[in-house]
Amino acid sequence: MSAALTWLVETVRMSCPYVACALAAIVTERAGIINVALEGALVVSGLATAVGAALTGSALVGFASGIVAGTLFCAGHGLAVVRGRADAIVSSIALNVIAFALARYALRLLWDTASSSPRLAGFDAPSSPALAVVTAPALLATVVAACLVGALFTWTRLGLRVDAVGEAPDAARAQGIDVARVQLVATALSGALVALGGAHLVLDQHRFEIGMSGGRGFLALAAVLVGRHRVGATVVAAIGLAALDAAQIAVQGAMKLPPELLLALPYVAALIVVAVAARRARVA
Amino acid sequence: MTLTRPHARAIVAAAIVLLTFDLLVFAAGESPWIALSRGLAGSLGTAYGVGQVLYKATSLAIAGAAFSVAYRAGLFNVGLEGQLSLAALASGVVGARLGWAPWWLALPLAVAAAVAVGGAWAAIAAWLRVAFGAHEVITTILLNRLADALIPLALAHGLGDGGVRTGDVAHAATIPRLSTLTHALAGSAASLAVVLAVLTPALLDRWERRSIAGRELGLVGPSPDACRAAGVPVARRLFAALTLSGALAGLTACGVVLGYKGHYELGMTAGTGFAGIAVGLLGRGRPLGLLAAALLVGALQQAGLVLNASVPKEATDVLFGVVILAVAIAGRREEAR
Repeated sequence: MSAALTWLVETVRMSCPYVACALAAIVTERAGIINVALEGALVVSGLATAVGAALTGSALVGFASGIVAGTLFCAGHGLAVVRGRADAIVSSIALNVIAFALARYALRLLWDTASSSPRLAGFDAPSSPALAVVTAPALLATVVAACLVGALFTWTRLGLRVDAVGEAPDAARAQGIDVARVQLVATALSGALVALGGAHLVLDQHRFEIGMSGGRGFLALAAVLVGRHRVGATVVAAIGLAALDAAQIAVQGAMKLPPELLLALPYVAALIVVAVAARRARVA
Repeated sequence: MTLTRPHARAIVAAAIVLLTFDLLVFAAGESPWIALSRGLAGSLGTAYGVGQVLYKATSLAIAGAAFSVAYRAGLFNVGLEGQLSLAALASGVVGARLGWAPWWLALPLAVAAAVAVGGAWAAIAAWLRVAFGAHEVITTILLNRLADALIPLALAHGLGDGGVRTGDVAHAATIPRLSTLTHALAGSAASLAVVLAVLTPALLDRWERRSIAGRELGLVGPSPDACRAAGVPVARRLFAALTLSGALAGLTACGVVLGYKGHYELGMTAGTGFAGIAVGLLGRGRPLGLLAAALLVGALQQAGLVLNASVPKEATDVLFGVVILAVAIAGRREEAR
């Protein structure tokens, strides 16, 4: 494959977790709940995907258990914040700590290792590598999910309610909307969305590895800031992050730069973007 | 069915923690009761165990104080982790180059390096917050990841010992172990840095109560507009709070590098920053509260290590996250409906 094609294919491959996390962040934040536990949700859903696939030998079961785990994990955040009235940031941090530790704990218990699961069965894929990337079921599901989330906020009553609850909870309550319920539904839904990314990471690599989420759940928050919580713009920004990621790998192969320096670049870029987006929001 | 009565919330929180403990231990094929007694015996039952708890509590109390000072100003410093690791690197790098200096010069220099680097790393987030309005939770998380990427780079290119660690810190720059004072603690990692752990929260508390800047710190968080109207330099206070928080994270690193290991190695301080957040939240920023929380969390960590053979030690970290969550639910956020 030519370098440009490789870069394009890698961008498509990597956009899945970014877009999934960004969609999840849009849904929770538009419902008025801060969620910085997306990284943890990626880890937990990836772990569940691996465990499900390893125990049954079926990628589909793995995929399904990943979705269930991600949904439960984020619903836990929703419960703690909405019902338990915990601070959303504290709850997110606690859930991240739990997720990272749980992954290591589970790896040690199940496979007596501290770093990665054994090789897992994936979905049947076309023999062409590029085609396999583009037709990965989790990726296709994420594309569908992006359209659905866009439709949710544009046309459905639930989407309208999520926005109402996020913008003005008291006014929403006065209108007879069950604010807590809408927020719980939104957080649970966000978990299912992140899980698409977590499952994709695992099924794409055919294994679960400690650190494989690679901070994408955090970086996606920068995409949401740039996209100002709008679905289309945020998805574009998330794909931009993936393109940066893919470029980093391409450059690393071509030049003899220290890999750590390139690993640092997305974070520097994200910091700048966050600052610029914050100033724009302040002026507006 | 939102829980309202405080004791009901506390009971639910405690039940969640206990249930998680049982599940984690049980899943590993161990009896919870035996695990509990063995964990207690290994952490608080021997002089060595107590020494290890003291060592861990030293870091935790200072890190907890670091979190608290920013939290008092309404800032959430999730970046302790990165500030700590960079500061630990700095004290290792500087400490290793102080072979020529007498102790009264070497020790302060190594400590100053850690404090300065920790503060500087936090100051980036503080500046982004004050000048741009960028939320410190997001920026400090990104800065943590950035530090993770930069440290191996620094170690591999010039600052390290050609691998994953720095050279050995000059003896003059180390903090004496407690075991040099009493034989009972022989082999334990606890050092005189424990004095810092007792003094830091107390001095910070005094500063926050007695000085003008310290008192304003507690006001700019909840009511920035009122402060601005009253002529309080809000931006400057916020900047100072977060930077000071990072500097204290740097101080935390000293107990580990200068008091125990005698060098910095990759991943050495991993987890201490997040544990510090928990201690800060548990201790509610009060000096005795911070010390008690640090001892509790330290004992929990030590017990986890003791049990590692039968129950993976990561179980304590899971439990630990659940404790943070449970405390957040029991403490509830303040905006009442």
